Amino acid sequence: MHELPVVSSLVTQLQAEVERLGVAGRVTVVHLKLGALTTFVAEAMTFYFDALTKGTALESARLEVEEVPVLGRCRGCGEKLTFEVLPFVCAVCGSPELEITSGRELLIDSLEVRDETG
Amino acid sequence: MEIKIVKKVLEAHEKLAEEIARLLARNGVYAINIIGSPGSGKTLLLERTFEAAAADLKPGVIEGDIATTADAERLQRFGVPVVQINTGPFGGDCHLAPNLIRAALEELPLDDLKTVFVENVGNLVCPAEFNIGENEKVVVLSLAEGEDKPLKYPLAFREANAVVVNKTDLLPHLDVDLDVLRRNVAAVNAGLAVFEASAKTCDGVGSWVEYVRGRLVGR
Ligand SMILES: Nc1nc2c(ncn2[C@@H]2O[C@H](COP(=O)(O)OP(=O)(O)O)[C@@H](O)[C@H]2O)c(=O)[nH]1
Ligand SMILES: [Mg+2]
Ligand SMILES: [Zn+2]
Repeated sequence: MHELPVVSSLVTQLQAEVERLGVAGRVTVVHLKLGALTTFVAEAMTFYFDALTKGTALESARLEVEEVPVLGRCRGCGEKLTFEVLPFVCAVCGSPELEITSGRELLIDSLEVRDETG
Repeated sequence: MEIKIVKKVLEAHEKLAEEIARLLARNGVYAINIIGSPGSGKTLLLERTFEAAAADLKPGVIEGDIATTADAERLQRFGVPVVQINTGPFGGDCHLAPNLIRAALEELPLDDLKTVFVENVGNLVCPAEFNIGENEKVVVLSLAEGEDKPLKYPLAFREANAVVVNKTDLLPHLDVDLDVLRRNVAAVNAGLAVFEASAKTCDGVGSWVEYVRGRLVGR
């Protein structure tokens, strides 16, 4: 349920963005990057996105959410790591001293836009 | 045609949080964002903390319990300034957003304070997601919630610097395995400071209070 205010922010931001780019009404897909460590649920986001864009310049746009994996680096041995399951420890040396480098993303990555003529 | 954008959705939030952090730093105030499920004991822990050390911590409180002002009243007994936050247009009722925090800070006498405790809205999900310019997040987890909670809500435990495992007085009445809970906490965030306490009996509350005092040293 906490996706609603976030998607509402997203839609406001996108509206400004499509105005700026002069592509209002022509966006077909919005690509969003969502870190696996965030608590936001992709299905809830697309649901609210469709609801909030109805009757706006983004009505014809679909939200596509791409999950960004949890990546990190071990502060002990320097190994680059991907986390799919807990615990958050280095798979090589077992150290829990980690720098998490990705997994918290919530980014508008790109827009797919219909040509003016098409 | 594809147009690359690459912009953070919560950019405005983050800017505000940074602004709040600067405001707190200018006033030499240390802010702790307290996160936990409803009923985990956030308010009672604050009451015990102020009983023990209000004079040294010079605390102010921002209360995020939306529905009532009961928690605010419990804390005002200690002569502590408390601001109760009302639901804003952004953020709904599941977490405190930075715009609400900034407005609340304007009502606190920051000049006279050393700490601000923010009792966030009761839940382990959304409050973990939003920085509010705090110096640190602390999770209050009650034993009765079960030992699996760190695994189910890893973000809260990753974002926090400390967890207070509260209601240890209930241990004899529960099937909770404290060792498993400790292991689960470490699996999610081995760097977390863990305090096992009972806000009811005050057992273990002292180490927590010392931890908070320690945060103010040299400030
Ligand atoms: N047995 C026991 N009860 C507690 C403890 N801490 C809080 N409580 C009780 O749990 C209930 C919820 O506490 P409260 O501080 O309001 O939780 P909050 O919703 O997290 O602010 C109250 O009835 C408290 O008296 C504890 O350490 N032991
Ligand atoms: Mg409370
Ligand atoms: Zn390593």
